Amino acid sequence: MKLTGAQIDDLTGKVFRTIISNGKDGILQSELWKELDLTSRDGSRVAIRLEKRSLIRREKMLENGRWTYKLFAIKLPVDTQSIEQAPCLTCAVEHMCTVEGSYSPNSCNLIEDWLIQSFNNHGIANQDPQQKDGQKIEQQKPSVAVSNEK
Amino acid sequence: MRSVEYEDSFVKIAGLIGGEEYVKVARALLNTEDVTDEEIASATGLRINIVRKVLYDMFGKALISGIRVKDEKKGWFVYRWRAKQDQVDNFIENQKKKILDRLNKRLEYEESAEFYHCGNRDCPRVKFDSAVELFFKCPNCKGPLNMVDNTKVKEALRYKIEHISADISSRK
Repeated sequence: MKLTGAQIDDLTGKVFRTIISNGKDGILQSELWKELDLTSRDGSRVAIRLEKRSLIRREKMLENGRWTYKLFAIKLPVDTQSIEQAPCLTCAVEHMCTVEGSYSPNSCNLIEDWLIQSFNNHGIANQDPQQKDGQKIEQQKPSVAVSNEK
Repeated sequence: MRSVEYEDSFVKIAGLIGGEEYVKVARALLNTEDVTDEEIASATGLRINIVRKVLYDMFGKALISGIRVKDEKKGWFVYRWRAKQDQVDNFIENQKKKILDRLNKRLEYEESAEFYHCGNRDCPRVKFDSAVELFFKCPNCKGPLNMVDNTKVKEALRYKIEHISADISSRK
């Protein structure tokens, strides 16, 4: 079945996103086609299209005695995951934030709330029973609630 | 709103620093080069004062640049704005470094002493020495001060510091 222009466009986005999600390691064409349920004909067309747009590079390599291509994104989008939801990004007094100042990272509740939330989301706290106990104690004593330090 | 997951980094960072309004303005800036605030307002449906607020903030963060040109019809000067996409990666890396620095300082502080607190969110935490001087009474609300268990905060700090450090070094 021949793909329409719109289908190819849609597919191009999907292929590109999959290549990007493999980061610096890249992905073998054959694995990519399997993952997206594509024929090698359609897949190759999309890969060549991305290469022409300078979005990916194709490296020829021998895999299990057969020649194939490995696809790499030329420029990986910058990863913002580690600082997502960080209060400093939207803080109105960020420029005045210093250890000795009135606004200090040592006493910032917003930073603390963000850290605890990220930590909980990551699920590390649930792995260690001792940490779980620590969490219970902390919930009774709201130590996170500080605005200034003496 | 469309997901920003697969958006251009410029739109992504706009979303991080200001949310939906910033994302709309960022998309409008990418769609048209050298665009005025009024054009952005009509393209996005946002109020002109909101668009200006977003533009000035992004300009302050060096994410966009503006040039002053004379409007031939009206005869006054207007600013035309352009996204500085090449600055996005630097901006994000700098933010990561700044946040990492703050977290390292906070961890050092959390490890430096025992803390006491009355349980009231608006009141300050005090170090042991100060708590003794205050006879274990909150300097703010005069409630009794109890020792604070900051184990989880320290764990969370170590986790985040490791996460951001790995992120920074992976791009080197």
